[in-house]
Amino acid sequence: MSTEDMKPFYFGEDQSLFGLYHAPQPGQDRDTAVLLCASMGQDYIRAHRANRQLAVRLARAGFPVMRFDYYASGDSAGEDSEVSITRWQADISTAIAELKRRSGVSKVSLIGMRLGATLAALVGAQRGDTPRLVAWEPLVNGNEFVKELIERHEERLRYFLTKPAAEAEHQKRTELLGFAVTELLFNELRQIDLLALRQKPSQNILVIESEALPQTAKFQSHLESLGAKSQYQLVEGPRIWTEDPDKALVPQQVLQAIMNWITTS
Amino acid sequence: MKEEALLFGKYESLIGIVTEPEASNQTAVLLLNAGLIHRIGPNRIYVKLARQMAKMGFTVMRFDLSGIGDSKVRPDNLPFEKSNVDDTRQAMDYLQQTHGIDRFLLIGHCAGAVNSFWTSLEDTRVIGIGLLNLESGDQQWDVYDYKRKVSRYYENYYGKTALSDMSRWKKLLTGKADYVSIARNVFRNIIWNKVTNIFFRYKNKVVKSQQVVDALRDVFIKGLESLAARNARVLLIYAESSTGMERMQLLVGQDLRAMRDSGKLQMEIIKGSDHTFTLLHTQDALFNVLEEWSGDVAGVKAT
Repeated sequence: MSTEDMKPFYFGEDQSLFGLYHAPQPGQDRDTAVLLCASMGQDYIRAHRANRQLAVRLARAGFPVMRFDYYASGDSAGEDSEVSITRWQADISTAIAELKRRSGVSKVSLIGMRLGATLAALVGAQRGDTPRLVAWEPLVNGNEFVKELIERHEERLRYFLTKPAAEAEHQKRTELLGFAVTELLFNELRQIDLLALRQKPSQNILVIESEALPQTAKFQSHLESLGAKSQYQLVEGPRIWTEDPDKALVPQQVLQAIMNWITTS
Repeated sequence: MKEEALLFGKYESLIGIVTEPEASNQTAVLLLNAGLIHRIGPNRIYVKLARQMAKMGFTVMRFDLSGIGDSKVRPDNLPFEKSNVDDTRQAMDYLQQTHGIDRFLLIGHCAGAVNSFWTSLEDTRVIGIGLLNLESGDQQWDVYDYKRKVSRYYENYYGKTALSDMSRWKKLLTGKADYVSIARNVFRNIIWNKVTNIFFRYKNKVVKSQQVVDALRDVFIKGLESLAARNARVLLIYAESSTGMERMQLLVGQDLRAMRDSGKLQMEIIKGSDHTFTLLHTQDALFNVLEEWSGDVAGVKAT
C-alpha cells in the first residue's frame, strides 16, 4: 500500500481553483513548502504524470507540496476563452497562500515547467519572498512560444486530418492545439520577456533544460546580473511536452537533478 | 452547477470530480480515462462535457483509474482490464450511496470506450454507453495506421503548404532546396507508404483473418446484442480520420450495420476530426451528438 498522503480540494475565490496537497512524510523537517506551477494546454496534459511524480518525491523528502490548476485550466472553473496570464500570476499567489495555510510553513519555493517556470519567475520577482526557484525549461520569450505553438498546431493538422480544411488556416488565430485562444491571451503571451525582469525572482535558482538554448543562457546571465545565485544544468532527455500523451513520459534524470538541488541548496 | 473534488473507493485511492446539476435527472454520467490522459480528457473535453451535461440535469463524474492520473495504484494484484472495471463500478457505488442514483451512462474515449464496454456487460445499472473512437488494432494495423499518417503529413506538407509558399518555390527554382530530402519524402513517405497500404488493405479484405472476425463477433457483437437485449443503449462515435472505424467496418461492418438498421445501436461520424478532436468545431459536434443521445436515453432535453 502506498504511503503517499494526498488530498484534492477546491480553493480560492468562489472555490474556483483545483488543488492537490501532498502532505510531507514525517521525519525530515523542512523549513519550506513547494508549489508546482504547470504549463498550459498540451504541455500541461503531457507533463501531468511527471509533475505528479515530482510532487510525490518531494513529499517523500519531507516537503509539503501543492499542485494546482490555473483558472480556466484542468479541473479549475472557467472556460478556455477566459485564460489570462495576468490572472494566472494572481492564481500562483493565491496558491502560495493556500499552501502556507495547509502546511503551516511560512516560506514557499516554486518549481515551474515551461510556461509555469516563466510565470513562477514573474511572480517570484514581484513578490520577493521566494526562497528557491526551479525554472524547468523556462520560456524566456513569449513571442517565440506563440510561434512554437502555431507551428505545432499546423504540424498536428498535417498529421491527423483527412483534409486540412480551409478554415483551419484562419482558425490558428482563435484556437491552438485543442484549446481556444483569445486575442488577449496572444497579446499577454507575446509580451512575456524574462530578460526584462528588474528584480531577481528568487535568491537561489536552478535553471534546468534538456537542450541548450541561447535564450536560456541569456536568462541565466540576466539572473546573475540581478544578483541571484543561480545554477544551470543541462540534462538531456525527452521533450515530454511534445510526446504522445499516451506515453506519459517521466524524465527521471531531470526529476532526480531537481531533487538533488532542492534538498541540498 | 457545483464541482466537488474527492477521494473514493474501497481503498480511498481514486480521485474524482463530481459535477452537480442544479436539478438532478437521477441519471449519472461517468467519463472514463482516455488511455493514460488524466481525468480532464484529451484537450480538456471531459471537463467541458461534464459541465454541459450537468446543465441537462446529469450528475457527472470524471475520475482517474488506479495508477492513472492522480489515483494511486491498487494494493491488490488485479490485472489492469479487471481493475478498470472494478474501479468504474466503485465510482457507480459511490454515486449510488451518496446520491441515490442507480442509472448510469458510461462515456469513454479510446481505451475509455473499451472500459465502458466491459463494465456495461458486468453491471446492469448501466443504461447506455457512448464509445468514442473505439480501437481494436493489432501490431500490423498500427504500422498501417502510422504509414497512413506519415504519408498524409508529407502529402499535406508538399501539397497545400509548400505549393502556396513563395519562399519554398524560390528555393526550389534557384537550386537551394534539398532535392534528396524532397525525393525521399515524396517517394518513400508518400508514394511507397500509399502503395504498401493499398496492398495491406487489399490483403486484409481478401484474406482477412476469420479467427479475428470470429473473436470480434464472439466478444464485441455478442456483447452489443446482450446490451440490446436488456435495452441498454449503445452509441459508437468515430472521428472521420479514425482507422479504428475502418478496421471495425472491415471486420464486422456487416454485423454493425445490421444492428444499426434494427435500432440496436447508433453510429455517428464526426467530420473533419482527428482522433482526439483537436479542432474546436469537432469538439462542438461531438458534444452535440453526446448531448442529444444522452438526453434521449435519459428522457431529458439537450440544452
